[in-house]
Amino acid sequence: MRRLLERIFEEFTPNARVLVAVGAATPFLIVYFVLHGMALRHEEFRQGLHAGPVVGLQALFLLCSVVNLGIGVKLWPRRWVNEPADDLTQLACLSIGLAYTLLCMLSGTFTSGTNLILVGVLAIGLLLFELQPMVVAYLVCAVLLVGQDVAVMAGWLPYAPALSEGLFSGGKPVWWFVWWRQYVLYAGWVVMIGLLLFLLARLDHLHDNLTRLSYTDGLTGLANRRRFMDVLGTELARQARQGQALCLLLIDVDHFKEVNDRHGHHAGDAVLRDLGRILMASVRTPTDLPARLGGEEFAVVLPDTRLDEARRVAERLREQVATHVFQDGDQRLRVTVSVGLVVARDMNLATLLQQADLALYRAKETGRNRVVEAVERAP
Amino acid sequence: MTNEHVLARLHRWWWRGIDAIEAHLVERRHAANIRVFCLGFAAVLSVIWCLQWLAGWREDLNALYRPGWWGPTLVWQAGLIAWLLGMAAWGKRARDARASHPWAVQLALVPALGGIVVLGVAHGLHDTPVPMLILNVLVFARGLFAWREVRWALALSVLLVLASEWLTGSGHMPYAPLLSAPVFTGAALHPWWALWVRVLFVLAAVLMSLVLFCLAVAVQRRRAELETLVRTDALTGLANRREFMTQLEREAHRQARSGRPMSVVLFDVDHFKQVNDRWGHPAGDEVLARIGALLKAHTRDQVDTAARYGGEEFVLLLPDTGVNEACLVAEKIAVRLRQERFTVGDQGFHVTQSVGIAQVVEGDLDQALRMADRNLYQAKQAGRDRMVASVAFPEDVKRPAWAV
Repeated sequence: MRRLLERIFEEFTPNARVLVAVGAATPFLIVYFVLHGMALRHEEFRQGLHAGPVVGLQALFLLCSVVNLGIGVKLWPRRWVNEPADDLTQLACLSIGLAYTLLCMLSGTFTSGTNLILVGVLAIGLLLFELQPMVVAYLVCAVLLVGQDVAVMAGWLPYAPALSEGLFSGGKPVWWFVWWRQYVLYAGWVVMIGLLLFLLARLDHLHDNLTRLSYTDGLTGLANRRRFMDVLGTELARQARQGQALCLLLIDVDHFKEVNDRHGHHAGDAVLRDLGRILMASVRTPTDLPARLGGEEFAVVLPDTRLDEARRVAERLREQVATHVFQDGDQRLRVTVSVGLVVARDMNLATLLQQADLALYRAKETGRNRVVEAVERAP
Repeated sequence: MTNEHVLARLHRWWWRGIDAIEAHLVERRHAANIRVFCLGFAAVLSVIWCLQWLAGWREDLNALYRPGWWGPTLVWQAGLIAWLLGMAAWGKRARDARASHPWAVQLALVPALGGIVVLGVAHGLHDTPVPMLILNVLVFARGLFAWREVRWALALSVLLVLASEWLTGSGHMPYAPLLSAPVFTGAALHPWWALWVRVLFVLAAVLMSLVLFCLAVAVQRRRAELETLVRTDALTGLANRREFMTQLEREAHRQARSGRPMSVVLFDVDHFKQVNDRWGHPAGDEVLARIGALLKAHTRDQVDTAARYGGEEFVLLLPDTGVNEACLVAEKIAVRLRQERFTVGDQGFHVTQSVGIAQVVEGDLDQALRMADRNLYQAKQAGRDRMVASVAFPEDVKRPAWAV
């Protein structure tokens, strides 16, 4: 059920959503139509109803059903076309909204059952449609409801015109009215709670995705530059406060341009992905943070790590990459990396990165496939 | 003040309000959210309390309540309100934004949801606005807290509702025990009762609609953001490679059907590595961002696709454009880029780019991309800062490319 709802809201085109709304609302309208028709025919039920308003409502239900069916027929061939039919969407919102609003107006707006129906229709509409058609339909229905209530207060209209005193005998509602009210209330409650929990869960889910995506690199799944900068900043501040060693590895793939040129971008991407995996496997998560800074540049933040440990990590990494056979389809290739290593001792972010950059540069200069430590210079 | 001013101001307030609500919905800071929840619910309860208190002033209204129940109910409700206000005050004092207070959340949620259900049972669940209010409180709670924090309170209220239904059904408890006068018998409503019902219904309906609209806006915003994030490159704001590939495929189908020309233009910044090494990564990023803006400015909205293809490589997809027109576009961009001056400190530098262009024939994308890549390579080989263009005939890779 949840999977189905997810699919409807994530993958359906606007036109298909209109069809969902029409398809969900129209059968209910038809059921109401049939039930009311049956009630009007039985003496027992007819006593509790005023025939005139009920017949008017029947006509409205019929009209709305026909409109909805028309919309359905018109949109069916275009259901997977991603060009929304705005006017038909608006028409569907209005016809469904009006049908339920008038139903509630005629049977009394001030009971929870009818209110739950209205709110439920609103919730489903907001889940399916854009804001604008819903705002228009909402305003029209709200004006009707408020207008009716003003007329009731002024004494121009009776409250709940479709219901008559025959619903009550001796101050107590008749059995079928009790039954009906109970059914509407509990059905409305269950549906509403389900819908709202779903809506809120969806919001949470979207938000989590957003946070995760904005902090990870799409290709490798490692942290991206933004997250790297964030974490490095916090770790540097902690280092300054607590004085524990903090190391940074800056890693660059040697001759990556050639990999791309000779084997194609696809192979290049495969190399980067594999490298991401190697990096992820070779650090002590969750304290260490491997990241892709962009292009073929990677980095690892190693908090609470002394120089000799960091050196070991870097060497192991370099060796693993150098011995790994990268594969893309039937192409096999090897690459190497150069690593710049720096120990942060009371530095700011810019100096630390610059030092690491310098060390990496010297690693490239002195023949690549090696780890070079930054030499501390007197300030 | 003119009408437009009022509208603009209303519009701004509306969005600011939504932003504030969203921040609470999404950030899930316990102390702050407990405060919001308790204050909001206490306000609703106060409305009910005031209406009931008003009834106590007149004998005929007081007669609507079961004898002897009016005062204690009032005190009990006041106690609940005081408890909530106390929790709100605690929430204000506990400012530590990130600390988690699971017990405090339960201390706010369980009395609140339990309290509103008891109030609903006392007034009668079937023909009063209280079920709507219960729903409101539940949504409010779930919006501000995670599902696992709300479920106990939800389970409690469901149990209370079921128990009350069973007790009324089996005759152990009267329906709406708080009220002595029948509430809705088909006869005209007592005016005070009509007011009670109206006020609470309007309150519940307005709150519920607001909550629903806010949620819908929040969900739509998240979706839009997610879509941009997935489709665009963060640095340049252009389409990313994945999005480019999708567009390429779509346009290729269209091209194969319509037979109109379509071109692919590959740009590569010359000596970009040196820019990075010499002027620093921030300067390199600036170059890429500026090129992104240039490409966007020189392409047609909704028709062309400009994308960052990788590191310092960009690509344009130009439907309805033959190789000659594509050359014109690329030339314009190249000229503009040559004129751009980038500065680091008080020094400035210029960059150039090499361009490879290919016209797609018969929807054969791979061929066109390969051809554009080869042309780009030739442009690089021939000394950079130039472009090479050709038509990518499927069988033909030997046909001479002409340099511009």
